[in-house]
Amino acid sequence: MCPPRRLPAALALTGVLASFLAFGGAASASLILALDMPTLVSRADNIAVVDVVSVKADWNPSHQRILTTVDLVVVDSWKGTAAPATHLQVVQPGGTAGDLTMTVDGMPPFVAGERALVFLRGRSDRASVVGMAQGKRIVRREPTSRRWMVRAPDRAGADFVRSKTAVGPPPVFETGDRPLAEVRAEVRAEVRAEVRAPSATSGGVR
Amino acid sequence: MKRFASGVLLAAAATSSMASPASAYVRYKTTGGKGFFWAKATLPITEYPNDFVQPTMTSDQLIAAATGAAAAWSSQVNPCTYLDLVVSVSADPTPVPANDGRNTLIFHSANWCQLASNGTCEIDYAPAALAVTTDTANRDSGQIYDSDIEINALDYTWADVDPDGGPNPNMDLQNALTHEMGHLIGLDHTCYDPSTGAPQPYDNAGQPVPVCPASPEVQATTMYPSADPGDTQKRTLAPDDQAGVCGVYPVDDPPAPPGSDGCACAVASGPLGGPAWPALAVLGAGAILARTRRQRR
Repeated sequence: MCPPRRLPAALALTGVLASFLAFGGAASASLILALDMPTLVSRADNIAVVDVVSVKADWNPSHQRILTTVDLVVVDSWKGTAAPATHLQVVQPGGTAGDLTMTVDGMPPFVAGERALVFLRGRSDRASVVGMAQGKRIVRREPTSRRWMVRAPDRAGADFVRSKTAVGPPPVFETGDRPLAEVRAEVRAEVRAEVRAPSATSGGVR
Repeated sequence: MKRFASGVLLAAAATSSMASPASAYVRYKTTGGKGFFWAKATLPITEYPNDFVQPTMTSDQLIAAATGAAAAWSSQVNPCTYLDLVVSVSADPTPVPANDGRNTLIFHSANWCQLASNGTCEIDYAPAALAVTTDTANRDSGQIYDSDIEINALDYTWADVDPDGGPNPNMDLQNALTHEMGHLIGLDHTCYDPSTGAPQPYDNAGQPVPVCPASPEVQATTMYPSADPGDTQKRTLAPDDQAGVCGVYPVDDPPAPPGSDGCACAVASGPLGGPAWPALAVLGAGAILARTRRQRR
């Protein structure tokens, strides 16, 4: 599937109208704001294909909240300074420690051994996932073609919600799994565009 | 006609065995598969409105939004449940949400993060999140001990939207709070996002939870993870949501009073970790409809 922003304008408009009809005419939006790819890229400090090494949960220093620390090893870095084989750490609320479980809706689950494309914000030893679950996508090898594929993001039918400073037309979201190479090309193009115009924003989000 | 006949048979079978509910819902579960639940009939929630500084809502509207959301899940609106969510308002300084046995509703206007005990940001929340609810439960039994709701008033404008007032660009607070209070009582979203790699969960009937975006019926539930700006639909529970609160907290099986010798467990679990089904019969949604829904899911 081609990146949506490359679709001819008329076709893109048709897609938007069709999605409006499919969802009762509402420009629905998730309780988590739906982010398009340019916004995911612009908000991330590190974007990489990673392998999940370990997932550990423990209490915070004041013993009031459980935090989960996810150790990731970089396979391929698309944005940021993390070189292949270096480690990144995600720290996010929730998890199980001792006999208690803290469940925080919207947090992406990580499982040791899985491969994923992650959009991370913040320090490399204490990063958070951009857009909560939207910033983590499973990467799997397609059984027939043996190509690496990136699982499509799903936003529960969400199209777009404007936050206070949003401008511009709503973005069109991708809906199918895509080859990893294609996603990488799109992300890297966004990163290059960001370097050329660091103040530019896309998608009208925030 | 054949489909109708099979629907009647299914309805009869469902009615006689009470093996499956009329409506489906999804619960938070422990790693061992136990559904989350509160072991008490009344859940106090303290709202701290002082940190809400947007001019779009008055203090009275903030309180009305919370009490309205709580009422939507409570026994007066849903006679099939014993559960009552009771909101009180505090003018005290807003506490840091924690596993302290106090259920809080707080607004973040100056930051959007998990606060450490000294009030500094410990972990940033994603600006994309409108609200976050944290349930703390026993890892084995699923009994919930504490739940806190945090509202992102830094990145979004909240309002008391007039349901009959036409398009509104702001987010309706009561709409969002009704959804979050569903999490507070232990309910999960009514559809599943496969992109993160999480295993597909099962609903109370043992059916796989539908992949998002799901059928219009599922999208109409309060626990569907999507809301429109200006939307007020989630203020009112859909049959699936009502089945959830009444299935987990059925009026005919209230928890034992504190201090009694009775079982303190509020949930009459079935083989799937689900609720006592007979209470669901009063919900009025027929098995034919249920069959149609399950087909769509």
